[in-house]
Amino acid sequence: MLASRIFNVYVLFFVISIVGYIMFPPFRTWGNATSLLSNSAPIIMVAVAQFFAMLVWGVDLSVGSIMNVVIVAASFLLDAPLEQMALGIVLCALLGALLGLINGVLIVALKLPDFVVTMATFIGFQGIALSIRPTPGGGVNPDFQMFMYSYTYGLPNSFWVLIPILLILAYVLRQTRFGHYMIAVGSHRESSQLLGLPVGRIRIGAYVMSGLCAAIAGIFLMGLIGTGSAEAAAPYQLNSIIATVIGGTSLYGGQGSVFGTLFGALILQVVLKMLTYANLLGSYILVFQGTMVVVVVGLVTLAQNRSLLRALLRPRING
Amino acid sequence: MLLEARNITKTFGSLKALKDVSLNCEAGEIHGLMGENGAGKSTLLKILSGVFTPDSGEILFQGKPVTEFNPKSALARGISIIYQEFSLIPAMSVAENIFIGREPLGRLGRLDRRAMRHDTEELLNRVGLKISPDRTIDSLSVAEQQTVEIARALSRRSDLLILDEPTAALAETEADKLFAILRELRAGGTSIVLVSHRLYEILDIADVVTVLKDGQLVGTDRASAFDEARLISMMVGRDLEHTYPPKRPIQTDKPLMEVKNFTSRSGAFQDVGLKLHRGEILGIAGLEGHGQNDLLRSLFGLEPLQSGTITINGKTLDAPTPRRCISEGIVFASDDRKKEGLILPFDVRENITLSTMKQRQTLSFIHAAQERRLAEEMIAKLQVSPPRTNAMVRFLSGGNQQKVVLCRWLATKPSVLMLAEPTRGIDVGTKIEIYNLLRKLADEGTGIMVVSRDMVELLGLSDRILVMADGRAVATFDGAEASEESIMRAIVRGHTTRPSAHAAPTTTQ
Amino acid sequence: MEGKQIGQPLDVASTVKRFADRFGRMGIYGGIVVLLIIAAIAQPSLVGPAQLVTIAKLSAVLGIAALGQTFVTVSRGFDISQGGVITLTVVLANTLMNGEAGNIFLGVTVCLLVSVIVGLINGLVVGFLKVPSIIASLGTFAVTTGGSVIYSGGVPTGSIPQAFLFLGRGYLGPMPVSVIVWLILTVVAGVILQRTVIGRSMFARGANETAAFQAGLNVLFYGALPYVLSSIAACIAGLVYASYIGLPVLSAGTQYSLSTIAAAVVGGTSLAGGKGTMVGTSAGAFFLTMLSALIISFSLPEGVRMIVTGIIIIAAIYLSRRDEA
Repeated sequence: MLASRIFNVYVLFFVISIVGYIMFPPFRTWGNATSLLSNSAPIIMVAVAQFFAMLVWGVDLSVGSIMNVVIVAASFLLDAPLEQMALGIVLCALLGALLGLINGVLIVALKLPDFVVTMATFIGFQGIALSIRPTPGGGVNPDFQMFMYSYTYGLPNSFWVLIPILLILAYVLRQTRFGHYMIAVGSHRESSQLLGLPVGRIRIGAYVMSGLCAAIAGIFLMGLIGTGSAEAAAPYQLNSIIATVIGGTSLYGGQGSVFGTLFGALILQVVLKMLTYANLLGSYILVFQGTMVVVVVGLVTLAQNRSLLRALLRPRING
Repeated sequence: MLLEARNITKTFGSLKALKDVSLNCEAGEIHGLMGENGAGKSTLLKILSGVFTPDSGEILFQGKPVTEFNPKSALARGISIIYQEFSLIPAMSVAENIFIGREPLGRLGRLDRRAMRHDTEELLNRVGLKISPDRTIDSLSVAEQQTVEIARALSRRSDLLILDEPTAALAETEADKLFAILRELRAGGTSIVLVSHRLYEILDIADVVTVLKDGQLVGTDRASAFDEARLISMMVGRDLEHTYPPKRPIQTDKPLMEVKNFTSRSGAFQDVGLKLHRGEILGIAGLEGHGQNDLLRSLFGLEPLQSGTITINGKTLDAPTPRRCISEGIVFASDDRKKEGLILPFDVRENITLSTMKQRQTLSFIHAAQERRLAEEMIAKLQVSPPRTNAMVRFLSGGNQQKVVLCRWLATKPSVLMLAEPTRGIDVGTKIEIYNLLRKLADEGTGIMVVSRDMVELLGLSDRILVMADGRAVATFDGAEASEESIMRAIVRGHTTRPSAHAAPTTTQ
Repeated sequence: MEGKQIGQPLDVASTVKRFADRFGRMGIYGGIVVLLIIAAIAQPSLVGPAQLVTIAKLSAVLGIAALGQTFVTVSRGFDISQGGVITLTVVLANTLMNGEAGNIFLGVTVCLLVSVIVGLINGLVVGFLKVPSIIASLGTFAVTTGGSVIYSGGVPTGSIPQAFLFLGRGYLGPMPVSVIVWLILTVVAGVILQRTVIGRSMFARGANETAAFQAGLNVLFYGALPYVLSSIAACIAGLVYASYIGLPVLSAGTQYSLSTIAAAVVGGTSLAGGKGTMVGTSAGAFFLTMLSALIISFSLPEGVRMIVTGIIIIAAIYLSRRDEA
């Protein structure tokens, strides 16, 4: 019990922030801290996308590709005067939801393993993105980009947009029947079936949510980079899994929270930023990412597996 | 008539699970359903609860024919079923589980948690469960979980409540509590269909009993018209004089295995000592949760040990592990054969040969012919049905699965065979086969230790009985002098007597 | 199963289903046949014996790695790090051998050693720390890939000595050496899986760790072993790749990570464990490579190629699972 408290993601975030503050002077400026926050919107949203898929014991290897599709779509739809922006954003979000629906239908209706399906859609969706924009181009309404980069009351605007979105998602999860059933189905599929819950539809719904969140992540990323590139979201795929796991989501479904995932993503961002401050080359970051995945998940799993923990911590009698 | 099921037939591929079965149930009646494993009971229950659709026949519920077979419409109709494995969501709270699928909604379509909690408290009071509605299911005991299931059925205002082996995982006091609730429900007009292998329970609580055999209806009658003999003969199809094979006197000179000062790290048992002799069946009796099962598991190295030694073959083990035990001839069959005993994707042959593979290999290459011979030998010895080495264990009945586990252990030629709940969920016919098998093994010199919640079974089977209470060994009885009474007395006395700090450890003969 | 009645409208869904059923029962082998037929019609040049041999040669790398992956899949796990091990092997082999035949032994030994270490890390993290294999192998994938970049400083040097090129480029009669090696390894891996105590124990441990433990199996060893075998297979695949190309390439392995899993699944190995053959996996590897070659031959833009690939993988897996019903 205590061990899982120690590895609680909020505590972890607190600890990491303190470490960062002490070790890296650049962290201490408010400007740097908030710019970190502003750049984190995409990773946070894509982590939440992955969270929804993991909630129903699945994994979504195509979130990065969904982001790419939305980014290139946005490079057309959002390259428009302000009045059309709202419509453009809605269309992009729907596009993501549609791609998520495809994932869901393939996995649930065809009863194919989620890993392989999202692997195939990872390739397929990327193909769609490349077909729409083989080379980077297009753009985004400059006012929109300005908005994303500006601050209000000292915090980045992307933050102000992100938080309500997350609040809505958390509400849907905990307070609506749909979200409630997602947790139920994710934590115990058999019982849910016996209880008459529409397991298939709920799982498809989870993947739709995942696609929707990936689309929002894509829109945020588009706000940051301003050009439609079909490869923009490549590093986000791996990071989405790391962030979700750090945030306390169980790969076996039914456990985790939206805000836990938020902090997991933030921890990842902070650590990566610390690496750049420590002047580590890009390639080291990859190694570090990899090691961190293994170590963090190992620790988290260890904390959850109490008997294993006991075996390791207590002295044994005569071996 | 609340429920009329007429001429129900259900076939799975080539297996005729139910053939022309009829069952009637009146309002306010407790209807016992009995039969061997594979008799079709669980198929019938699943049809009633909407999981399966019958191939032919009709069902009338409250006079109206049933046309839709799915869990949701069955629930809507007022039929609730409580499975042996429960259908609760462990990570969610009691209140959430009770209202799953029909949560009350408040403003903006949000879940009305206050109403849920309030109603749950009322329900918990009705069933006498003093816990908070916000407790998660995985923090409750098995009996408490089952009571939550019943509370849920109550909240649905079910007219028909179906229970599949409800007392399999309960201790006696909890089972009594359950039956009290059932009687109350009956008084209120609810009908109950109850499946159980425990003859005495069924005869005790049911009004009407139906017996199935091989997918067909054997007979239905008022419970008062049945006695044990008639029930068994209807289920098994033959008259049984002796359920338990006769016992033999044991040589109590040099013990085969000796256990000293066994104390578990979790506190499940303390300072237990015992001696097991060649050819002896030692039963370990006690109330549920008093450490018997933990004791066996710790002997095999499955639970952490604080202290203690096992002496066998002149060697002393103080930190047992399954591999070490097996190499010394001590084997253990856990009470959960599906999760801990069998490899479900494997077939019979692969399971039987699993623990002795080293004996039939050269440079890791398996000697296929030898392996098949061993499997065939074992299948014949224990009469596993169907007698095919390539049958998938997944599809075998509970009794045959248990036999496969035993085959595997027998292949290791053990000196000591430890069994936890060996006949749980197994039909009467197979139970008797297993009793005879155990007796035969004992006669050939194997020492056998059995933990069973079924006191009658222990009494019938064991040469000696060790009684445990609160994790301590409190008494031993010879087979002859033991009786349910004397065991219960020892348990009660074991409860109230607290050994002083300076008393010698209660190592009994 | 359902008969068509006269006058009934054609039920498209059930017709497709029946077609898929009959198709699926042939498994991956049927898929290859179909692919060959399509190729024969659309791109006859691809089906000539010389071309087929070339495609087989191309499949060898994927095929060898996929054999190792099958051990892991059968244990209900995923080893995504194979791609990283291939990359690392290619870089190490080139740098250590550096064109000198005398260094071959050193190069091969070091590569094998490194791959065994990676496999052990995977195996222990998954088997002992109980980290889900997707995560653990994703981590080692990142470490090995990043490690290759660091080791080579971004610009890998060295080359494969002439004598070693025989592995990837040589022929024994009409058959490429790499294909012969692949076929031999398929047989060896198949025998290990089906006929040995080791294979059976890995199967058992992968299917039910608790039961295997109580039956007396060494669950730690057999939990880690599939990952070690998988890494070794990736190493061998990397050596074949290196000896085919002759020069170091940093992106060598990335394309293989997920395809080895696809090859195993398409070849009939069930992700739920308990079912799988090495021959099927090798057929799956050939199928995927052939498919890729076919799609490329149509000179479609990259994007369209990827879409088609995605669709066909899904179709292939769908069909390969129909015979699981």
